[in-house]
Order: sequence, then C-alpha cells, then structure tokens
Amino acid sequence: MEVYNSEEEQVQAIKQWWKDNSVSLIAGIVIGVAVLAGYRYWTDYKHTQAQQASEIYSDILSSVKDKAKKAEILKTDYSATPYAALAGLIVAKDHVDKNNLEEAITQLKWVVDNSDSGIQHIAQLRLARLYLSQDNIEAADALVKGVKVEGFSAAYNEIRGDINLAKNLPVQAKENYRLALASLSPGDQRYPIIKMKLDDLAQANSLMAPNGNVSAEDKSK
Amino acid sequence: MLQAIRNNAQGVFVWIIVGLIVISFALFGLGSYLSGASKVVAASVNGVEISSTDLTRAYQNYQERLRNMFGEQYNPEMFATTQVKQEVLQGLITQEVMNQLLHKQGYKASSEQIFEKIKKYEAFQEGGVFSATRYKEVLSQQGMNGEAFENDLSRDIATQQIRSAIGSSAFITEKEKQVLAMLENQKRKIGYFDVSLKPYLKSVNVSDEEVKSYYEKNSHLYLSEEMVQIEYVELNMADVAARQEVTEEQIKQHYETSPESYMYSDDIAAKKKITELRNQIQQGADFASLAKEHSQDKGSAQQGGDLGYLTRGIEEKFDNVVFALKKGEISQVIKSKEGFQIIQVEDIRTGDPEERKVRHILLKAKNKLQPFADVKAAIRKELQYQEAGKVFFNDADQMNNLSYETPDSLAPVADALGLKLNTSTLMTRRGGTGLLANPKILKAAFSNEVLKEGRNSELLEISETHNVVLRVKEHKAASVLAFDKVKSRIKESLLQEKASIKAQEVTSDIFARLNNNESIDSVKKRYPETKWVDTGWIKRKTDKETKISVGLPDQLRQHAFEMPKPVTKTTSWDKVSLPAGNQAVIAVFKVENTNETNTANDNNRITQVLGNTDYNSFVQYQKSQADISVSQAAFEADTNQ
Repeated sequence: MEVYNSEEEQVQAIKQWWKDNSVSLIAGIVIGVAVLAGYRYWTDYKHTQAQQASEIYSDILSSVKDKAKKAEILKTDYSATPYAALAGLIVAKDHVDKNNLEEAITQLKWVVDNSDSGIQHIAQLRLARLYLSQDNIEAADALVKGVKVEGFSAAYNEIRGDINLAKNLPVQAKENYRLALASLSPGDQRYPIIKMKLDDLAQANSLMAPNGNVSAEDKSK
Repeated sequence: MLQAIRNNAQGVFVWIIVGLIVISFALFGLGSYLSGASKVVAASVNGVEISSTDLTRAYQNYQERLRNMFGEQYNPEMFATTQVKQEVLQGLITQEVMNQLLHKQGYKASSEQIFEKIKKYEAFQEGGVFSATRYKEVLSQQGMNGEAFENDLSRDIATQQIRSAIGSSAFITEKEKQVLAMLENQKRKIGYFDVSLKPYLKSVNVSDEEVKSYYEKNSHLYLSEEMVQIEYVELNMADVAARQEVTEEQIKQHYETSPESYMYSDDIAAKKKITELRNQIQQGADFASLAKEHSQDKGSAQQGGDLGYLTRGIEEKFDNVVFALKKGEISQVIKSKEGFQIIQVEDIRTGDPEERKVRHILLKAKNKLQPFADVKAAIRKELQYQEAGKVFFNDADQMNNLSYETPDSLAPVADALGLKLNTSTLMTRRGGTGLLANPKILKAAFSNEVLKEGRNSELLEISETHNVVLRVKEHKAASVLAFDKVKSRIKESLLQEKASIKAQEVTSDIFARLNNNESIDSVKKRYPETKWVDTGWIKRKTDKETKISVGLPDQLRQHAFEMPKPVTKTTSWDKVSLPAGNQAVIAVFKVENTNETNTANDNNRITQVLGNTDYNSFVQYQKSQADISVSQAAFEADTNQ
C-alpha cells in the first residue's frame, strides 16, 4: 500500500489512475451493458415466441377446424418452442382415428426428431405401435430394441412383447410382459391390460401350440 | 481524502456509480435482493431447495383439504403423519421437477391465457364479473404478490398443456382394438369343486388345554381398550346468561324506553268491527253512509267508499273478489295488505276490458303495545344475554389463564368462575355421548399433554359460545383381558384354523388327484362333503354385466382367466382360496376367443388409460433425470405436529 503525504498527492494519484484506466473502464462498462441488454433482448424474444406458440397450441387443443394447418405453422415458425412437438402428437392421433396410419407415422417421426427426450420417448413408443399395426415388424423392432429408460420401461417391455408375439415367439413375449409388470405397481391402470396379455400365454403342461393359440379356439372358427 | 472524493465526485465518479446501480436494478429488478433468509432444507432438486417451511405449508393445505372432505369425522390421527408428509414432499418434488422442465424447454402461458384463468376465479369476481380492484384486494389479504401468483398460474397452465397433449393424443389402432377385444371377450368353460369350511368345523375339536396355552402364548392379542375418566368445566353462554341478575326496574325501563319493539297489530278488533258493519249492511243499513263514517281509505271515504269503475290489475286478491261478485252483492271480509275490507259491486260494464263500479270500506288494524306481563320474560332473557355477552369473553379468558397457571387442577377455575366441576364415566377413544363424543374433547383427553403429563388441556372451543377445559382423572391403560372373557373367542378362532387346515389338505389332495387324471366322479365319491359345480361358459366381466354364471365368486372368475389354457384333451386344474376360509379346485376345460368387438366406450376407456399412464411415465422419467436429494431430518423434526 502506498502512503501519501498530503491530500494533494492523493488527489493527484486518483487523477492519474483515472487517466490511465478510464478508457478500458468505460469500454468495459459499455460492453457489459451491451451484453446484458443483448441477453435481455434475446430472452424477451424467446418469451414472446413461446407465448405465441402457447396460444396457437391452445387453439389446436380447443378447436376442431384447421388443426393440421395450425400445427404446420408451429412446425415452421415456432420449431424452437416445445409446442410444435405437442401439436405433432395431437395431429398424429387425428390421423390414426381416421385410419391414415402413414400420415400419423410422418407426424410422429417429426416429433421424434424434434422434441426433448421425454416427449421423444412417447412419440417413439407410439410410432412403434403404428408400425406393428401395419405388420412392419422390423421397423417397430428397430425403434424399441434394447431401449431401457426409467419411467417408460413398462411401455417398452409391453411393445417388445407385442412384437415378439407377432414374430411368433411366445416364450420371449411372456418374459417381456413379465418384466413390464415387474416395473409397475398392481394399482397402475396399465397393469390389468398387460396382465391379461401375459395370462393368455400360459398353457397347461407348458406345451405350446405352434401359433400360441389353443386348439379350442381353432374349433370355434 | 473523503473531501477530495466529495469534490471530485460531483462529476464522473458519482455518475458511474449511480449508473451501475440503475443498470443493475433495471436489469434484474428488486426481487432478487429481497429473498434468501436461511432455511431448513427438506429436499433439493438439481440444486433448487424445497424448504421445510414449504413442506409444512403444503402439508397443512393437504390436511385442510382432508378436513373439508371428512368434516366432523376428521381426526388427524387417521393418517400416519410421516407417510403422508413423505407423499406431500414427493408431490412438491414432482412440481419442482416440472417447473424446471417448463423453464428449460420453454413452455410458457401467454398473458391472455393467464388472464383468462384469473377471470374464472370466483374470489376475484364481483357480481359474477372479474374486478381488478377485488383481485388486488384478495391477493394482498392473502399476503401474495401479483407477479408470483401469475407465475404460479402460468406454470399450472403450461403443465396442463403438456398433460393434455400427452393424454388427449393417445390412440388405439384398429388392430390393437381387435387384439384387446379378443382377450377381453374371451370365453372359458369351467367347473369347480367347492370345498367349503363348514363341514370341517364340525369334524374338528379344540381342547380346553389348547385354548389355555394359546391364550398364554398370545395374550398380547387380547387387550382391553385404553380408557380415561375426565374432569371438565364447561363455560356456556346460556348458563352465563341464566346467572345474570336483571331487576324488575331494568326490565320495566327497557319496556318503556323502546315500546316499538313490543307492538303488535290488533287484527281481532278490526275484524270484529268490520264484520259488524257487514251485518248492519245486510240488515238494510246504507253502504255509502257507513263507508263515509267508518272507512279508513281517506281517498274514497268522503264519496261513500266509491272507487268508480275499475278494470282488473289492482291487486290479485282484490281483483279476484271484485270480479267474482254479482251485481249488488257484498263480499266476505277480506284481508289485504291495506287492512280488512268489504266490497260491493254496484254496476258491471261488460266489454273488453270489463269494468265494474266498486264501493268498499277499509278498516286498518291498530298497532297496540303488548302488555308488560306478556313480554317480561322475553325482555329478561334479552337483557341477560346482553350482559352475558360482556361477561362470557372475560370468563373464557380467565378460564384459559387459570387452567394454564395451575395445570394440575381444575378446582381454581371452577371456584373462580362459579362453574360446576363435572366428571365423566370411564370411556374409550370412541368417547361417550353428547359433549363426550365431540372429537375435540376426545383428541384433547388422549393427547400427550393431558394423558401422559397429567396437565389441564388448553381451552377447547366447542363452539363460539361454548368452551371447555378438561383434565384426566383416571387412566386405565390397555391391559390383558382375563382368560374367561376371551375363552370362547379363542376357541372359535382355533376351530376355524383347524378346519381351514383340514380344508386345505382336502383341496390339495383333490387337486393332486384330478391333475393325475382321476375322474371327477371318483373324487366326488371320495369327498362327499364337497360339492362339484359345473359352471359352464364364463366371461371375464362380472355377472351384472353379462348376466350369466350368476353367483360365481369373483376371485374364482378372476382366477379362471389367469390359469393356463388346457391343451388338447387336457383339463387345466388349479387351487384357489376364497373368502372366509373356503377353498376351491377349478377346472378350465375349454377356451374360446369370440369375435365380439369392444364397444366405443371400452375403446375410449382403454385410450384414456394409455394417455394417463403415458403422462405418469413422462413425469417419472423427468424425475429420474433430475438430481434429487431428500433430507430425512427435515420431517422427523416435527412429526408430532
């Protein structure tokens, strides 16, 4: 620490310091302010985008008309917001209800490619179910093979069971359904459905008819 | 030095510093400087803390909801506190996880959406319409800040958006519908051996020694209920009022200074008078002159009660009488808002509207002061309650203080306030009758403070005008019941147990024999006490829905569909336990898939299940991605609350 002899000297020192540093100090402040202002502008812009997307999405939920058109707007102009993916899920459902599985698949593929991981898993599982419903077993299989995620493990195991059943592999399907049930509590709403699929595969004396069905059924047809 | 700064500071320095301050406030607002007192942490989610204050508040809100749900029946002990708190905390964690997700991914409600939601709250409405003043008032009453409230709403809305996106976009394809319909409508042909407990109850014996030794080994299962006898003082507004001295003078004074409270309208006299007038007219007296003399309708009395020609529309009752009378006829005495009337119709002009010339006499009932003797008791009571109102709250205060100051006795309270010291009978946690059944009384009587520490309870407000303080006089802890009292109960349960073992043995044997291809008939002969039931075809759905195989126990039906399917020429056999110790051995003979389709309702239900569970999976997944830590200490600290 320097020692100053008089106030005069101190004032001199401060003046000198100001002369040496004023430019960088002011520059620093200006840059700082500019960065902060830029950051503010950018977050504001993002907020506005999100709010507008949120409005359009609400319209899609509440109206029947122009759903697909509005979803397209979200996909093109608001693809940075999460609402585009949500709209994709909804439009896909509408296509399924009209039995346009190809269109639904296109929508869900887009969602898989353009959403964060939670929504992505939902879209991926649904996509696999659509492929399976079209008997496109390979495509379904490729989507869910070996995927292991907490929260979705029952759903992945169930679809793997459905796929194995379609491949005529009831023993593997049983194991898939069993694993699915193991990750659910018996109170879960999905439990009875999977349980029903599993129970249907049990055969007395563990003799398996070639197609996984019993002779009694064949007689009834 | 300071002086120098002061001098120089007029210029650049001050402006730089002021500038910095202005910028920082402009950019970040005041809010971030005002939060941040130290707190106990209950959990943290990705470094964001949930304080134990938050937890306590959420827990209290939860209890409040339960209290509203159960009303008088509510007893906090019904819910294991720690477990409930765990659940409440998990709820808060989920909320925080979702909040972070919303922020990170950019889910956001627009201002319009928030405002739409605010408008719908009844609390912010005046006469059914949203009021901005009311909104501000309510928020400040609740100690809430508008920005924070709107942020909460924004989160609610955005969370709901995700939920409905996932839920309402769930679908079920045609192929999946077929598969599920096939399984749900599957038929199975079954039969079963009914191995009921009853026949074996007769065939087993339990000796007195067995009962005794069971009692000795398991006496902890046979306890009497814990009981208490309480002492209590009751402060009741009605009692306080009854004790208030009110003098004859005071009553009289009250009667005289406010006579308007004790007036009544003397209908009887008025009615008697007008009936007399009617009689006179019928005996030939002139309507007009009597009207002139007696009618209190000032407008028409001078004209002999003449109202001129009238059309309908005066007053319903009056109209009905006037337009029912014949020309010249005099009405019965009627009572209208005005008073008592008799009416005569002098002329009728038919046409549209019909007009009638009407005369009437009106007598108004006089207001009279009720005699003092009639109202004395009521005034006394009123004055007593007025006095009691002043005394009651003082007494309640004193009751509270005295019972707190001498916590080991209620005598001082009783003496000081002149109250009776009551004693209850011994009672269990279920309580007695009347006051002794009140949940507040029971909760206090069995509380730690009162029961274990032997202190007076705090002042219990049974109602606004009814307070009680109590203490425990005698406590009978739960104790082992005498052998004689429980002997027959034990014998009963031992008999059940033995019979049930017997039934299980029989069931196992039947199962083994049938599984080894022994015939049903042969088994029937071997165990004549059992019953073979040839049920036939059943479906998964219960009797009510299908109206077939009525009376089949639900467990049996359910089990029949969980059993392995029979393969060619093999019957599938299995054992199942039914309620009340009964057993059964089931056969599944045949399985058939029908080609029945599910109804639209069934498919909607399944779609909904898929949507709900997808959302739950989504939330669970988000939680698994977050770094969550829970501090055990935070809710062990105050579980006694």
